[in-house]
Amino acid sequence: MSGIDRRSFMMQAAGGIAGMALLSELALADPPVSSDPIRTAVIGMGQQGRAILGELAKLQAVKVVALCDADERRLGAAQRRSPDAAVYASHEALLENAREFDAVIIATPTHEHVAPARACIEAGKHVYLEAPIAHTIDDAKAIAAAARDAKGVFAVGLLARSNPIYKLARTFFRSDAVRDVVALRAQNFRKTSWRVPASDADRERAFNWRLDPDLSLGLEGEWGVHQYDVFQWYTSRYPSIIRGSGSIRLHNDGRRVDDTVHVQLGMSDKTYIDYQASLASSFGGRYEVLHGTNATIKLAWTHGWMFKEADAPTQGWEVYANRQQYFNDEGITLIADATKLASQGKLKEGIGLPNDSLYYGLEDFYRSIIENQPPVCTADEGMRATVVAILAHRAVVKGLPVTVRDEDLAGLG
Amino acid sequence: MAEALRLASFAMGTRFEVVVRHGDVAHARAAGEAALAEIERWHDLLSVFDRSSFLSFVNTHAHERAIGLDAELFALLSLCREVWRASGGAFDPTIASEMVKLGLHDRPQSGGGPVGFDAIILDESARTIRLAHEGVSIDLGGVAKGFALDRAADVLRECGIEHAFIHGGTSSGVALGYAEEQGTPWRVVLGVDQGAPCRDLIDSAYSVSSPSGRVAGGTHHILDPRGGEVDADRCAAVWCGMRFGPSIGVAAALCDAWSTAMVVLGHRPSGMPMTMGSAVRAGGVWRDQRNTLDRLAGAGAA
Repeated sequence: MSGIDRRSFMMQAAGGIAGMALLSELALADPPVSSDPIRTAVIGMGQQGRAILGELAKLQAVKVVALCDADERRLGAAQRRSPDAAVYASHEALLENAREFDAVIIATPTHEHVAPARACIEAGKHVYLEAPIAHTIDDAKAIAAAARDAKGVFAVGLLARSNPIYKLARTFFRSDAVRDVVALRAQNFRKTSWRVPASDADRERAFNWRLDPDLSLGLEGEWGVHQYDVFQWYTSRYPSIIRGSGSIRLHNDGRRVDDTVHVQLGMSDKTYIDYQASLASSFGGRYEVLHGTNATIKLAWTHGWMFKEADAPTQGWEVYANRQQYFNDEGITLIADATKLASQGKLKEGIGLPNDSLYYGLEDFYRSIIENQPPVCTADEGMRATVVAILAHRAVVKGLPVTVRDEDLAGLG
Repeated sequence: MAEALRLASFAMGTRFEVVVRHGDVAHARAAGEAALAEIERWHDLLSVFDRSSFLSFVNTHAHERAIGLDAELFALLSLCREVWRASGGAFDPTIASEMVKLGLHDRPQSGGGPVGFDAIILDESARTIRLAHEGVSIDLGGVAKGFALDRAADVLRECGIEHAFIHGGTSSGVALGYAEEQGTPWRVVLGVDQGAPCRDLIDSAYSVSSPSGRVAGGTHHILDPRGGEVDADRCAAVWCGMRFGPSIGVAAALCDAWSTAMVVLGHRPSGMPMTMGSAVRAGGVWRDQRNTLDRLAGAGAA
């Protein structure tokens, strides 16, 4: 019997009691159920909007009744996928039929969040808004201020907070398994031009807002916001100073938005988040690493691992854990629903998540609506994460250190 | 004509490559990336090896309740039902559980053996799927690559790309427009051995199926759903024209499904549409080669 098989056997034989004690709150929740499906409108039919439609199809509690996009062809393509949904060319036209839906998901370009977000809050709708929530600090604060008086749920799509593996890792992090933080590191490498093709110049300009230096927050803002937030959520701390630089390493196509960036976000205790993102290489993909004096946690959205230091105390449950070898290091695989899977002898089948991160973010949004619970990520948390992303972008563009002041992270009023 | 730009990515267990010819290189790259992203999206939807795929969700839950499908996925499953019927069950997407037993799937499915498409209930008015009972599970491996290529070709055309070639591991592909100067088609040899058919393709799709590609436990990756083993030497090639228009194009998916059926049967089935060309290799000899019109754009394949 191999070591892992022996451990699996022992886990079954022991009934997983040791694991259960530690992991009891980490079981995958059942999807929310509602007697009447929540009628939902989706604003923005770009790549993210289409991905959202795909995940919503898995949720029995949801009925997509309206689609909205200013681009007729995108709207037509989306309606082919959801032919029962009504289509609208603007959020104003959508809200003229506000009685037809209860919840709205906003997946427009970042600089086009503020108007539909405020209008939908004002109309009393439940709102799910993609992150970053805005491309200026003023807009981010205006959205957060409006959400404070919202009648419905207002949730921000910072998806690590809903991801079962990230939630599991956070319990380890906060239970002292990692101990003192040594360093925080993240990257998002993906070899792609970040350019969206279109059939004519006007549409191409509209679709390629990410490559417009007046509108884009760059890789350090659009991608970075989700990854900085992992550390902010885990440590409950925000950076006090941000340094950054960027360059074009591959895509010399006339763009003025960097395809490779390096950002350092410094905390007041002199720990740092070291962040790199690139469109010129794909090696390593997207991950975050939290180095601690007792253990290091590596998170890669669908998978997670914990690497213990040799001198760290051993927990009783570790003998049952699933492990993977990484060159010279052996990592404990972080598995959501571990206790249940181990009791069924299926621990290894739990490696990786059964759904995309986006699914869990949406599931949490609908659970908040149905169970009348606060959202997993509030408007204020979304605003603070967005402000950090905007300031990181400022640091990269200017090439100078940017100080994060308390008032930058404070809400309006 | 502009120089060709080549891009590639990995999906569905193979390497997809797109060759795009367009005067604006930045636009060609963006369009090629969008086509590859579309293939990756279909991988995410249809992979039975990935617990987070929509098909895994259907396999897990569709025996409990009807699950809504979008128009494209419904069209794909309808095509599978059509080919299953017309091929006398030689093409059968319910073979997944048998594949698990033989170690050809890493992820356990719901169990049971191939049960036939009758156990998959498609409701056209509600556009839903329901599985007749627990234990039925669907594997679209025989058709997913082709369908993803069809959708990628849609993306290229929507981006204004008229000349491109896109393939998945060379065994399935789509040719749009011309390879070089006006009038030179994309030339594809549909096999590696002497006598393999060579086709000049313009606005066409093709697929080649052979059991020799993947072996586990002495069993080849194309199983005869009706029982028995498929001769490892067999190879089938199918090609047809693309259909452009408002309906969902399925030329490459049809080629995939029919080439799978042909390699199981060892001959061209009578139910195969006349608009599709085909050839089959059995006993080391290519035979039963049936050509169709070289250019079928607009003629339709189904």
